[in-house]
Amino acid sequence: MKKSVTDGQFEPEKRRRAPPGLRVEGLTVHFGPKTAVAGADLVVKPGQILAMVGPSGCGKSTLLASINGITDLVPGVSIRGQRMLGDQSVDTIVPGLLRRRVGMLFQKPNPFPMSIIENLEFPLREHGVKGRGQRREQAREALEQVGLWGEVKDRLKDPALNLSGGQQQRLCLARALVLKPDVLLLDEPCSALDPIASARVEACIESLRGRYTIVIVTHNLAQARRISDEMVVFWVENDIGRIIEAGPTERLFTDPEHPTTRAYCEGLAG
Amino acid sequence: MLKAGIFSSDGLVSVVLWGAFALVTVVSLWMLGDILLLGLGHLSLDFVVAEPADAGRNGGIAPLIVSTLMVLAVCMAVVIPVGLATALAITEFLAPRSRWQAILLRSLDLLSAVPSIVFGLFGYAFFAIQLGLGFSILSGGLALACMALPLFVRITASSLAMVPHSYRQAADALAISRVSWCAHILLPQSNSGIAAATILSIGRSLAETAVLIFTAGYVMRMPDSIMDSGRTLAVHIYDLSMNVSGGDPAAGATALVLVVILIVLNLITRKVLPDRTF
Amino acid sequence: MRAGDLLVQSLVLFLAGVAAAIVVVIGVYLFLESAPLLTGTGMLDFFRDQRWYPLEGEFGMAAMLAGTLSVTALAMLLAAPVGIAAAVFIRYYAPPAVAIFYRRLLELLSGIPSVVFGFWGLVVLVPLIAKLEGPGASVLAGALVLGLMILPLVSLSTDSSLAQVPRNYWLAGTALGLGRWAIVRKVMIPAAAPGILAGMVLQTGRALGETMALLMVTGNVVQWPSSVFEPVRALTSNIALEMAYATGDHRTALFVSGLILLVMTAGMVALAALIQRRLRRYA
Repeated sequence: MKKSVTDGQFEPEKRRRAPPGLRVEGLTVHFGPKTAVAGADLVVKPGQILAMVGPSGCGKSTLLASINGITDLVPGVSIRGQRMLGDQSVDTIVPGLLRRRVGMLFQKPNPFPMSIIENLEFPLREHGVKGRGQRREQAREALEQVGLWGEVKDRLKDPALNLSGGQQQRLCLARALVLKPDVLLLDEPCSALDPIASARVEACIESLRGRYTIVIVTHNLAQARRISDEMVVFWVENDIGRIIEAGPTERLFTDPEHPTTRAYCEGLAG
Repeated sequence: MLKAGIFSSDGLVSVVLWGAFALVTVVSLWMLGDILLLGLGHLSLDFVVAEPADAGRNGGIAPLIVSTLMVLAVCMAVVIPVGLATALAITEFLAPRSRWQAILLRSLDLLSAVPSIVFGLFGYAFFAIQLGLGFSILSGGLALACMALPLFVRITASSLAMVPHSYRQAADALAISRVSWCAHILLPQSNSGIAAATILSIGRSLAETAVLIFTAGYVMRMPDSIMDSGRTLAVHIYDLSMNVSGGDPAAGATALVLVVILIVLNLITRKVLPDRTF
Repeated sequence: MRAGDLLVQSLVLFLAGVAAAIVVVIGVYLFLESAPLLTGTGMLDFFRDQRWYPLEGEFGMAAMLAGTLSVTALAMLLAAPVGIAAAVFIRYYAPPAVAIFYRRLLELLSGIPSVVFGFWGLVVLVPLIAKLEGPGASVLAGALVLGLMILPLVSLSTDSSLAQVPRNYWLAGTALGLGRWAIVRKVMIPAAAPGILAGMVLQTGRALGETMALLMVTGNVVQWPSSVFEPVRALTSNIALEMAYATGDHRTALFVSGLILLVMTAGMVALAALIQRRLRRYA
């Protein structure tokens, strides 16, 4: 695997247990009369990075957001199928606990309209981390993990919205990490960033391999090839999103089974 | 050959429209100018701080200003909490396009259509008599609150709805509780909208007369408490011009004071929320 | 955390429920207070009878209804064309500085209390009309003052309806070689028509409910208006004048008139909503 160019240290975080694997079986999501995803199966091994690729509107984000129960919040949604976090079904986990174990990063950086440090301490307070010192310490750890600490340590009280796009996205990643999750869901985290910021965020993500189980939705096939261990290809058939192929990333690029996969990965379709 | 469509020609239309503009401007300025002239003569610093004398023909409007402020205070003390809750219900706590949300919105629409004199009747029958509050600033403030509520809710709700969806997504992903979301992000982000709603509701309430005649009463002296009857500036203008012979100059001066206050409020709203027109 | 959420949610929904209930309580109250006189056969008499002698038990509201309707209709007749013209002017014809001034002026007017309009009408307009004909306090005075009051609102609502017409329509018209007025008349106004119409209906409702200004300039004589220079009494003014000392059936009759007013204005709101829904021709 090629390493990307970055600066800033990515401090390894002390891990007590291995992250869980993910398994989705036969997931079907309807938004009212429209079917977004049908019969989706996927498996993510603990500590691996799985990339979900495919053209827009295939249901990738819908499936991603069903892993931490965000899709469940949409009014009028119906979700069928199994979603397993380790050996527990996602339906059986209390939302507060679920989203502490599964963190999410969105396409467009969305830090809260607060100060940089408040963006991290607010979720900690919400989840019952007592003691300002303790919260400050965890916030600092998260910032060091994404390589932002050095850049912002002298202006922690500045508004988060004053940061550049790439810095904001790393702040959002820190915010997702600050609750010490086991799993990370990344929805096209680099697509709204310029190439340099994108490379930085990508390097952050790579440094998390092994300690977190990561699922990343991306349009950038080169990125998927660079950082993911396994890949899942989505496609639209009859207006319904389906998974057409899954497997180790390199194999999907060099020797795909499905003709659409071959066409997509060679840049001829989608 | 007649030029086809001569009455559609831009030139003629332009003249007509400019003419309409001139008419409206002239009449408006005529009215505002008259108020200024009628009132200016009678206006002085004394006028604002003194007690009325001689049924209001002379003296000042100090107790009326106090009554007006007290009525407004009672009114807003009810409108702001109830209005905020209602706006939150519409945007946060009721499912969008659900039956409950529709019922709430329809009933607020109907409430905003109720004529002010009917509010006066209701206020009199319900607050003054049924609840035994009598002719008092409290009755008046409560009746006024019913009137101002739809306006406040409409502006506040639309302000809440404008908070970017991305914040909500981030908060959902972090399992932030509903209360914290409202208290730490939603409401602070809608600050200026809520302020504008407050100021506009105050402006609308200041202009009300019919409601207050039957609830807050007519009494001109300085009120002791909110259970006392009190006369507001708007009611004073009415009484002086209709019931008191020779009361016109004082009425004009009071009208001038009221209009100036409203202009100031309008300017403040513009500062607080510059890119909205209501 | 869960308990806190539940508490706040209950409080919020309770207060919202109170807000929703207000209009229902008003309706119920009016109905209950009017009930004694609301017998099936007697109802029509309110509308047919012109004789309003409450102290003798005669509660004919026809003359006052006519007063209300005539003043409102005339006011709308005056305000609607001028108001729409003002909006068209601001949007499509006025230079930017003039447009800003005009809009500010209309916003200012829309905030001025009805008593102030009434005061000016009483002190300036009524004597002026008296020089022409009659006592001055008349349907005409009421219509002029009311018209001036609703004009800014008609204008601002027309303006916002026109603002919602997609810009492409204008470009399409220009591409077809249409002149400015032709585009406005044949494309923009028809497209905004539901909104403009709904706005006018809403303002008519507002006008029907106006009390203070009419109280001050219409003369308050209960009679069928035979000319615009005759004084009349609006239904709203009647309540304001007599409520203070009305008792028994007289008081009940006033509540009946309040109920009639409520039904009329609520009807206007419903009509406006209907117009918006049914006549909408573009998304």
